[in-house]
Formats: sequence, structure tokens, C-alpha cells
Amino acid sequence: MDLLANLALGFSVAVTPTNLLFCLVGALVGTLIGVLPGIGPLATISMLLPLTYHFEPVTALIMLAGIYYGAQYGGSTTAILVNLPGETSSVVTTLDGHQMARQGRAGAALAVAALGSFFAGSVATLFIAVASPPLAQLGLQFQAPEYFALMALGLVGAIVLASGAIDKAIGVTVLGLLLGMIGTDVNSGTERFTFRVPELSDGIGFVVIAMGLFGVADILVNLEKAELPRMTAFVGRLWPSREEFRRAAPAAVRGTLLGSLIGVLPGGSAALAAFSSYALEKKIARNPERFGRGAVEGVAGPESANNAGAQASFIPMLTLGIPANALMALMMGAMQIYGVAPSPRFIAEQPALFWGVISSMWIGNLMLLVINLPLIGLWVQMLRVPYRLLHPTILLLCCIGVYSLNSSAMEVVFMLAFGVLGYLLLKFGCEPAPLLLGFVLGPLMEENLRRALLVSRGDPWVFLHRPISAALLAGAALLLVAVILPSFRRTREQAFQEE
Amino acid sequence: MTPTRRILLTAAALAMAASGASAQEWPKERPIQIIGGFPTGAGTDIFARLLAEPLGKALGQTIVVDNRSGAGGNIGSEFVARARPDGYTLLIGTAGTHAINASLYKSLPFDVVKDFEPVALLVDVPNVLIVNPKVLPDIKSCADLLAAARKEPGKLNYASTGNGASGHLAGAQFAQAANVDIVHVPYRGTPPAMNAMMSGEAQIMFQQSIPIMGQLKAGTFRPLGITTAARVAALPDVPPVAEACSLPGWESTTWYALFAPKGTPSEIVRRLNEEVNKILRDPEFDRKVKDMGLVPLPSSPEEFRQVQLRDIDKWRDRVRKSGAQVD
Repeated sequence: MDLLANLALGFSVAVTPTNLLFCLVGALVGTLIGVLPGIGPLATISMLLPLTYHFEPVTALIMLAGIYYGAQYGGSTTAILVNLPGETSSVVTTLDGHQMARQGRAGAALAVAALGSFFAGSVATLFIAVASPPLAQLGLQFQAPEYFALMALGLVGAIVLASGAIDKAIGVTVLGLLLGMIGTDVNSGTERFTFRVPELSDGIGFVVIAMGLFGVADILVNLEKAELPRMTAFVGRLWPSREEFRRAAPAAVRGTLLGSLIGVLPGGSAALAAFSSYALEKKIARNPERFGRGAVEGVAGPESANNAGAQASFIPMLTLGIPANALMALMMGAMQIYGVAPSPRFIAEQPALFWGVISSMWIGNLMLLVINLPLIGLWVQMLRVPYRLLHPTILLLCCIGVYSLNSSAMEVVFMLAFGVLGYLLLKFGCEPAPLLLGFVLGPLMEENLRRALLVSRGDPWVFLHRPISAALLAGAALLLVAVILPSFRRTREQAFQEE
Repeated sequence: MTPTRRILLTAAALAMAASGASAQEWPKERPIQIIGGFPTGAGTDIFARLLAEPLGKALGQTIVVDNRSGAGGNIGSEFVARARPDGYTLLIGTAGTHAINASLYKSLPFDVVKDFEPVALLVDVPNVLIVNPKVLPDIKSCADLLAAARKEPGKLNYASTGNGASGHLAGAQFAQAANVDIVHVPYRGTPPAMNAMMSGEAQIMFQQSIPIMGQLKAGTFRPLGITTAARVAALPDVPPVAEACSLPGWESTTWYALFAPKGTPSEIVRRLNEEVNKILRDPEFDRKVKDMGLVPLPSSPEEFRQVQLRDIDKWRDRVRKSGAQVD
């Protein structure tokens, strides 16, 4: 069997002492930067790159990959404990993970996140090993009409994502769309809503908005409470209950599948995977109102999805030579310097390198589980830190994190402004999460709509003639009907009761 | 002489004295930063990191690469234009940031010539004219491509990594010179543009050599021509566009280069220039650079200034003809 022989070759490369050591180093560094908000894997990998020039290419790649998926593990920790996403892909984990922490289930949430990530990491590794070439081909089926349809589906999902009033969710999503318009238009090169501020010419950064809306806004909300509840009392049992396991397991499986599929798409990212998984879990849940109040599925699904997505995004790079996102572009640049440029013939030309890196991913995920489970007890102690110390520390870390993205003081100011906006949104009872999704999807949707029409020379039927695009649009329409119908039904029921 | 003017002159004299003192100490005081104007992982970033290591060793000082990306590289350029001219802040600029942008943008908050000291020209970065053989199996040469484009005007798309990117301008320049009607489809950076080429959404592209060397070796893309005037070492079988498409004199390349803020002491500029040229001539470094399809360009600061001035004029004309404009 080819696969077994390939995996055997891979493991023989991955378990040499040097490679094991650097796999561990990568996983540790990844966990650390994942926990620190704003300091992402992109900055870390670019800083460590010169060090790796002297390594064997396979060792270097094993370490760099470890940093990337390690960061997905670490990012959930602060999201759950202090409502601050360590990585953008952990934004949705704050919604239910932090609520669980407030109810004394922080340990359970962390354990579910770690176990879900491990499961997703293992499956995604196997997934890459078995299905890389056909999956990469699937990615190529996606052209502008398909991307437009996918974004339309995602946008409808954004409204589903919100708990609470649907009109508010739509309003917040539209605000996100408008914020996404800021910057230089790809098609015409014209600047929109930039007010001659050069920092706005490429739009506002996702991290800037996410940290402002979630991290800073949460601190503002907490500050106005005269007496802060000490979390000490709520630390509770560290391990998930049987009931929590029962709910979390299927969500983790669904999240893994979804994450693997989205990760393969060029332009798909771990963050998008996590968002989609959350929307899916909420849609299929028997009582969706539990979401946003500490539903364990809302942690298990997205956490599995972001890890699977992170690993699957290696597929287009390693099999087609196309980087799915900025981080993969950096990895590809590194590989070029090592003299092993990725291309469609990469697997055939460098089998030891390809299978070695793939096998190391499973080993790395196992290491991460072993590192993270015992740490849960320690992390939970963070909740005992009084707010007067915790809040300034978080604020400082956010500022450092945002500044480190582009070395721009202006972006720190933007982040603080979004903190105030997030505070106002919470005061008005609006969920900030759909804003972020609108912000991410809106520009992509517009860009692909216009590109599809440019390529079809203005023929709008192109969206329905192409089967994948038509199916995705039909899905969006169905979802929209499903969202609107229950609220209709409820109004009708209320009307009947009044009679 | 007005009082303000006198103060300015005194300040300038003081600044010169101060920088004179630091020129002797340079570069012992603190790490040197090379600012890049494009995102991490972009060609400038990859090249700056490749250069930083041997250059740091030669100078006995750590070199940090710091990307301040945005506005077509202008944010990074502006930062360096305003930085202290003490040799500790350098810029990896390109023909894009320091020649094309001068005409592409209606106004820039700095002057690409007056606000910078040219330090060293680094490499020539060719664009490769590519098609996907799976999508256009019959097009084996530039002549085939021109024939196909003339047969069905307005049918073929050419991808670029963005409005005003060198690949866009090369495409517009090509279409105009060859008198063919091909449609420009811009993407947000290299990855989506390459994906469009793979999936057949776009059929033609002028793409910088760095990210596609592996693809060309694997045969995913068929190179029809290279935008340099002569062949390059890494792609010996690819003829220049001028030859392949029968467009005599046609070329369209960009360069990467090192700039310092205006007023950086000339001893520092000289020293940097010498060390950079030594590295560019080092056989090991030369091999790495050529493997990426780049052409090393060791030269003096004066020669580099001439190249920059010449290219500003050249690109002004091309930008005007392409109709590209950014507010």
C-alpha cells in the first residue's frame, strides 16, 4: 500500500532526534505566541526565518509548521479565560468559551478546545496524506463566481451567527460591510473612505478590529461595574463532564470536516473555518438559544475547525505551489531560499521532505496535547489574578500586538476606537461577531462579483450556469428562508395568542 | 537672511556635525533596520532577509527587516524619508516605489529623488510572460499568442497582482506595443492571481519570477518570454519578449535597491555600497539569487541614481499610456 509506505518514510524522517526536538520547539513557541494576543505566527515565523537558513529544509519546515498550528492551540486559551482572542481564528471561541469560564467551566472549555484541536489535527494530517492531490484540484474549481456564491452563503451565515434580535444582527453586519469598503478598490485602484490617511489606504486590519471589539470593549464593560465578581469562586472542576463530552464530540467531527474543506480553498483561512463551524453548530442545535451562554459545542466545533483549517491550508501550497494566505506565502519564500520551491511536482520530487513534514504534524499535535492538558490547571489560575492587574496587562499586550503588525502607532489608535465602538454595540445589545464576518466577507464578495462579471463580459447568468456557484447560492437562499421563517412563525404565534 | 532660515542653517550644521560623529562610530551603536514597503513574504521581504544575514556579518551589526506595508509601498518609503539620516534606517525600495509610483499616484507626501540617498542597486526582477498549457495547449510561442489574440479581440484575460503593479503595466505596455486587445483582470496579490492562472479564469500573465520558478520547472506554466532585454541565467531557454514577440527594443523590468534617508553621511553610503556589492559578487549568494530568476546588479551609488532617473521618465510615459492611476 502506497500510503503506508509513504507514511513510514515520513515517520522515519520525522522521528530523528533533531527533527523531534525542533518539532517540540515549534509547538512550544507556537503555544506561547498563541497565548499572547496580537503576536501572531506570521510575525514570529518571519523573525525566526534567518535562523533556519542553516537547518536542513525538512527540519526548518517542521519547526515553522509547528509554530503555525501550535498558535491555534494557544490562541484559544486567552479567548476562553479573559475573552481576548490570542489569534484571529479564536475570535468565535470567546463567544461561548468565555461564558463557560464565567460559569466555572474554564477547565472544561480548555480541555474541550485542546482535545478538539488534537482530534482535528490528527484527522487533518491523515486528510492531507490521503487526499492532497484531489483536494487541491477541487480548489481549482473555484473561480470568481464560486467565491462570490461562497461569500453570499457566509454572509447569510453571519446573521445566523448572532444571538438576539435579527434586525440588530443585520445592522451590525452592514456596518461591517461598510468598514470593509475602506481602502483601495482592487478593480479600479481608487481609494474609498480613506480621507487621505495613508494608513487607511489598504483598509483596516482584521486584527485591529477584532482586538478592539472583543478585548478592549470587554474591559470597558467590566470597568463600569462597581464591584467586579472575583472569578476565584468559579474555577470549578477542571475536566469536562460526561454530558459535555457527549455534546462536544460530534461538534468536533463536524468542525474538523468543515475546517479541512475551507482550509483547502485558496483564500480560505483558519479564521473563516472557525466562523463557519460556529454558524453551523448554532443552526443545527436543538436549542440554539444556549449559544452565547456557554454552549460547549460552540467551543468544540470552531476550535477543531481552526486547527484543521490551519493544517489543510498547507495542501494548496505543497501540492500546487499556490500559497493560500500570507503565512503560506512566507513559508513558500522560505522554501525557495532552502532551494526546494513548491510546485505540482513537489511530492514526486521531494517525497522525504513532503511526507516528513506531514508526519511531523501528527507528532506535533500529540506533543501539543501533552503540553496543554497539564497546563490547564495552571492557566485557570490566571483567573485568580485580580482585574486591576489583569486589565492593564491585557490592554498593554493588545497595544504591543497591534503595533507589532505594521509598526504603526495609528493602528493602535484605531484599535482603541474600535474598543469604544464595541462598548457602544454591547450597550445597545448588539453582538459584535457578525460585524467582523461582514468586514471579512464583504470586500471579497464585491471583488469577486465584479471580477466574475468582468470575466463573463457582463453576463449575470454566469452565477447560475456554473454548478458549484448555483448550488452555493441555492444554499444561501435556503438558509435565508430558514432564518426568516421561524421568526415569522413566532410573530404569528404571538398574534394568535393575543386574539 | 531671515531668522527662520538662519535657524534652519544652524540646525543643519549641527545635524551634520552630529552625523559626522556618528559616522565614525557607525554601525556599533545599535541594530540597523531595513524597512520594506510590502507585506511579509513578498519578494522585497524575502530578498531583504536574504541580504540581511551576510550584510550584518560584514558590518558586524545585527540587521532587522521591518515591513511597513501599504499604499503600494509608499508608507514604508515615507517612514524612511522622515527617518534620522544616521545609517541605522535603510529602505529596500523598488522600481515600483521609487520610479512608477511617482507617476502612478497623483501626489506623494515625499519626493522619490530628493528625499533619498541612493545606496546600492541590488537586483533586476524580471517578469515572465506565462500561459497555462492545460488551458491554452496550442499556444507554444509568443507568435501563437499574438495570433490568437488578434483572431478574437477582447477574449483573452491577463491577470495581475493589482492595479499599477509591474505585471499590470507590463501587460498594458505589451498590449499597446503589439496592438492586441486583451482584458486586464486585477487580483489582490500573487496567490489569487496564480490560482486564476491555474484554474483558467485568466489565460495570460506577466508574473515576477520569484514565486513561479518551481512552477516553470514543473511545466505548470509555459514561459513565452521574459521582460528583460537579455536572457537570464536561471531560465536560459526563455527568450526575451522583444525577440519572441518581434517587438524590437521592448523591455519591462523592475529592480530592488537599497535607499537611505537624504543626508546620510557619504562615508556610510560608500561603505554600505561596497559591502553590498561584495555580497552580490559572492558566488554562493549569486547562485541563490540567480536560482530565483533575478539578475544581480552591482553598481555605484552614482550609477544607481542615473538608472533611477532614467526609469522615472520611462515609467511616466508607460503609466500614462496604460491609463492606470491611483488617487
